[in-house]
Amino acid sequence: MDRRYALRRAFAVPAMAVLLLALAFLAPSCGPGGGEEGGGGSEVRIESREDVDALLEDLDAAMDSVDADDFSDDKLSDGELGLE
Amino acid sequence: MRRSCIIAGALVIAMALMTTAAWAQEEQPGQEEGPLQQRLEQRWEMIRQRIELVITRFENNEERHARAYEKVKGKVEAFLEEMSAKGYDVSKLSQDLATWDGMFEEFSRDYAAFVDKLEEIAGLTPEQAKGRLMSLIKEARGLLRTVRQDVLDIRLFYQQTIRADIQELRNQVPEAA
Repeated sequence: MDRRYALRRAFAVPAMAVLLLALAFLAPSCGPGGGEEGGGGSEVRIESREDVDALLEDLDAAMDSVDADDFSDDKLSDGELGLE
Repeated sequence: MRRSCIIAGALVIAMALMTTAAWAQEEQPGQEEGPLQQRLEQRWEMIRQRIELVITRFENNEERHARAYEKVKGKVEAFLEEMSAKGYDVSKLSQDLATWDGMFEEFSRDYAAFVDKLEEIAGLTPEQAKGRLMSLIKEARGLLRTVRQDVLDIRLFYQQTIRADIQELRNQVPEAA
């Protein structure tokens, strides 16, 4: 009986650890803010001018997150290509 | 007599050795083609790897841009639907959004042409690279400038047109009580 109890306990501890780890990984991806914010499925509710202001702020931030200099000449310079 | 024979023999041997060394030196340019060729191939391989690295960086940048544009476009479309459902006149924004969409497609096309060019360069053999590398890089740089201009156009159109359309609609929304 003691042996069976010890065996059960030996399995229970790692199983519980695995379960907790799985929950820890699942929680952020299932929440309302989880996962990557994609372009599709955007929901916009406009009840007042403030809602439009908030939307504009959001759009400005997204547009500012990228820069034309990501494609500037120096990204393809002789130095970058090892031609110097 | 014996001594002079030994000296003469030593001289003959020394001359023979010098002649052999001279022949060996004369043959070197031909023999050096191997190591020289090898060095050129190694150098080309290094450049090719740098080009692959540059392509990966550009791919990451393009993905970030495409994601940002997709997000903005999705939100503007949702705003347009919401305002249209509420009875606002969204025809100007709708028209401008279609124009903007065309700009995204242009960016996508021009970017694809640019990366194709870089991949063409990376696919060259060392012999082909010798004659064509610099002209192909020049072409790639021209295509890169077009891509950058597309990005600037997209940004400018957002600031001057799309944003202005949204603000115009905003001003029609009654102020909160």
